[in-house]
Amino acid sequence: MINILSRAILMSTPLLLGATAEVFAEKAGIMIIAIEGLFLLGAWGGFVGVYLTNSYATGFLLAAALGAIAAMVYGYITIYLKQHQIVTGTALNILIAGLVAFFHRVIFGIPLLPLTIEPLKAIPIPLLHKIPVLGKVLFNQNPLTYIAFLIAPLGFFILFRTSLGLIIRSTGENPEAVDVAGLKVERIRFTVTIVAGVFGAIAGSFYSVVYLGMFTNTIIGGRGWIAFAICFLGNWNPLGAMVGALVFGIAEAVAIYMQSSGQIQLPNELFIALPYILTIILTLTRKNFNVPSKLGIPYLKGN
Amino acid sequence: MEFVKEFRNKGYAVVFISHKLQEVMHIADRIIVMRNGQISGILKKEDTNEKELSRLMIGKEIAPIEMTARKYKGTMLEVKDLTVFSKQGHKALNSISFNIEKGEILGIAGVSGNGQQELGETLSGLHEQINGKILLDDIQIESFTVRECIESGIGYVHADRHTAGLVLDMSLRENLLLKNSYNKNWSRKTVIDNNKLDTYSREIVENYSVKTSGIDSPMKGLSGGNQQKVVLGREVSIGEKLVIFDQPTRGLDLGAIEYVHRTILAERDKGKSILLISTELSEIFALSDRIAVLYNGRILKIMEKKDATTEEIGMLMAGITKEQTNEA
Amino acid sequence: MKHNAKDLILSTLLSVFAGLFVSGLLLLFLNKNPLIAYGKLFSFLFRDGYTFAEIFVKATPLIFTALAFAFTFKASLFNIGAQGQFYMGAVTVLAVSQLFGDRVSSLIALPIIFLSSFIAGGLWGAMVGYFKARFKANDFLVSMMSVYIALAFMNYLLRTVLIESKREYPQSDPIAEKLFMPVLVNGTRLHIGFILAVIIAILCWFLLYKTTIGYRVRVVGQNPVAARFAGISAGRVSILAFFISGGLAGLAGFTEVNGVQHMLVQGFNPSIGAEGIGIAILANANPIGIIFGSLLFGALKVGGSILGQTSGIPSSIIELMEGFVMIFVILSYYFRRKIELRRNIHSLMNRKSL
Repeated sequence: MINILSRAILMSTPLLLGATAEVFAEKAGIMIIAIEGLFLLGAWGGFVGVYLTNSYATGFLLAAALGAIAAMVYGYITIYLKQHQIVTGTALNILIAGLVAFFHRVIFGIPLLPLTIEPLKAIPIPLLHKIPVLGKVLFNQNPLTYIAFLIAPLGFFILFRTSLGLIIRSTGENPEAVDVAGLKVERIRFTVTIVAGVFGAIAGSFYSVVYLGMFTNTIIGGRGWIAFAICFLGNWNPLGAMVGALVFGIAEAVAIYMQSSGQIQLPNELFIALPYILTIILTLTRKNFNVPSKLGIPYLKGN
Repeated sequence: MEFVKEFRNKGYAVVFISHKLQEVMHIADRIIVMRNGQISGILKKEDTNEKELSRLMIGKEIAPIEMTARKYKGTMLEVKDLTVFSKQGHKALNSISFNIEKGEILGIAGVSGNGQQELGETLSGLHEQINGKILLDDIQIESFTVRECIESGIGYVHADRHTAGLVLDMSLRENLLLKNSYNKNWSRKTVIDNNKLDTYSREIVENYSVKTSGIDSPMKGLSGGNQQKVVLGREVSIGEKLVIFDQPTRGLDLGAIEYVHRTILAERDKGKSILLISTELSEIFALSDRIAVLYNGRILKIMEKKDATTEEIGMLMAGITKEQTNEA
Repeated sequence: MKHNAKDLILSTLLSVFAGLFVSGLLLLFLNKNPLIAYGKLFSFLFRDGYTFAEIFVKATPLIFTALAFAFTFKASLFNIGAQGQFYMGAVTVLAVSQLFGDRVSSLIALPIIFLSSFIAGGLWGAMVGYFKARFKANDFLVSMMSVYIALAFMNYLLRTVLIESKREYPQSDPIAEKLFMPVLVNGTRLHIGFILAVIIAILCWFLLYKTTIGYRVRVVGQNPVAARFAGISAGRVSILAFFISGGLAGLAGFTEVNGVQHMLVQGFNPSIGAEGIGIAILANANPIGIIFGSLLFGALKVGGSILGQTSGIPSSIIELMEGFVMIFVILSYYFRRKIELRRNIHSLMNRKSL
């Protein structure tokens, strides 16, 4: 049981990071449809950085840098050139998949054995990890998990309790007002998108650097979309995203447990599909969403 | 208004853009008249009057429209104790009753937001939360859907033609199909009868003198007045029995306004019933046979035009009835 | 109008060229000469009849998935779940084909299988439309999620009830030879599915632009408020559009199983859904343009994979080319709009000066 909970927290890490990034961007009016690609790019960048330099810091930095570049491309096309976000995001997802596979080959050729790195280890927090049950579940995790669970409340605070957050939210709700106040709507959106890109990529790097210690082209397998969904289900609130990420973390942990224990005779595929089924069910049952009113709509002056 | 004047008196320069001549005459020192993107006159206020301004605006003087005597008998629309609930659950219309005869224009005066939009929409089948009865030509229609309302001959010129009346990215001819797409006359086994639609589109363009490069040109390329003519043409042919005009001249120039007014009167003279909703009292007075005042979801009074005065209607629009004034 | 059509074709061609150019530059990282590589890719395509025919074979399912995206796109709906609807179609035609075996004449069986793929994909798609209409669910999200569920469902069936008689691999037995789609050119894999795809694309164009059903789909897409005032139910349109869209994607299952693979393997053709979106964007969601866009992507796939086998260039070059072409096409939307605006202003000025 403790193992399952501990693993749930672990598995919810990237979803929480990704969803929080998505919340920020969407609050400013930009849907990051490229999030699946950002996850993949981050997973690859993280892996390459760690593999080549043996340093986790380089790995995360490389992931973050690649995420920022991809987000700039996405932001430039959708915010400044005002092209369709879903269309652009889909194109970028395909392109990133191609680029990652291509450069993986350029750098590593065709290795005979799968390349691996040492996954980032858990760091128990002094004293706290000794608390029975809770200590093991909450305070014996890897650094990325701690960061994710600090960033979500911090994100909530920034978004709903600071003037910076007010500006971001206004940009998604009423860009005209932001414009009239003398702020540049497009610059705000672009900046938020880049920050979201950085965190989206770091979220993706979880899968290669923290979880598996290797990289494959299918490593993300739709988890970027789940982070995207959690942003919706969490009602565009980082704390809501935290709840959502935990629910999915538990689902994933239970699925892994069921698969490995083989105690219950249910098809394996059901567990694989569970997070996706869960997303649809939750989408149907959640009512009264606080959709940012200008979500996905480019800002045109004088309109 | 007073704010603008005050602002000017402090020594600031003001550019005041309006098509309301009274406003301009009231506020301006100098007046520039523009037509089709060109300046057609620069005048001092002291040296001009509304008539001259309107002549410069439309290029010719508008002849005042004369209304002929009513020729038809019998009731077309009967509304009994109609209550409409808004989405928030409050009463947008509160047990109103009225009727419109054949070949009659009932003007609905009132400050906007007092239930006018809900009235037009309810008669077009857009509201479901309603109590009361609506009879069109002795047929009960209060539970009709939008489609059934269209099929039973109710045309509706909505106040907001851009969002409710037109698909701006579609062509003129496709916009004429908008409310007829379920009508079997316009298609054979769902295949659109293009010959018929073309003929009809050309008719509308010609009859309403719509200025356009062709029936396939996109709607968004037309001027506001010409867009409204297309809506008018479509709704008038749908509304064989009743046509609802909600703010039909909002945002139009004087030439187009006159055209719209003539169209409304012509439809009345064909024996149709017309519900004219407008916040412009001059429009209500120019076109109505009878005038009703809508205030806060209620009809405060219905009167013959000859018995109505601007003063009384103005008071009613503010919610002040005669009894109240007498008491005071 | 004429100008705009010319712009559209010219700018699309330029974008394709730019996309290929940039992907070519990346080949320098592998110390490959892009010119030689593209020269090879091109000559491979015409190497022999078989290879050339492969372009059409690869284009066939792409036409269907691109049409699937385009059809809902016209209603401002987003079906990015064509991959899943394709899987549902594929697994259904396989099951129906196994059921028929060689007992029924192909003249009767094939049309039924065809219909079953459309209905299976259509119902899976209509689910998204229904959720959208009934619960205001986000169609983009739900259709995306439905892909993974369909994949899991197909994999489950292939591991259990549909597994081959040897029970060795999670794949099906081949279907009866009778139920193979007729081959068009002997010695190639080109089957009548391609003709079917072209016909269906033309039918889609007809449905969208010549019928009241397509008209209503477009009205809802362009102005849902006006649709409501015209008595057009956005909900019903969204269910219908998703049904047709899903059905189109399902048809790809029919042509792939009965036309090409003649069996079903876990997780096959994993990228035709995304590629379909790319093609639909490339073709500006025009059904006829989609035929040509699919042929282009088909050619890239065939040429790219031969390049991978012979020249040590990874087959990920295919996705690279596709991705860059898409990005440049999106950029061309922007520039075309600018040119169009400038031309409109010019023509207005000219009219005034006359």
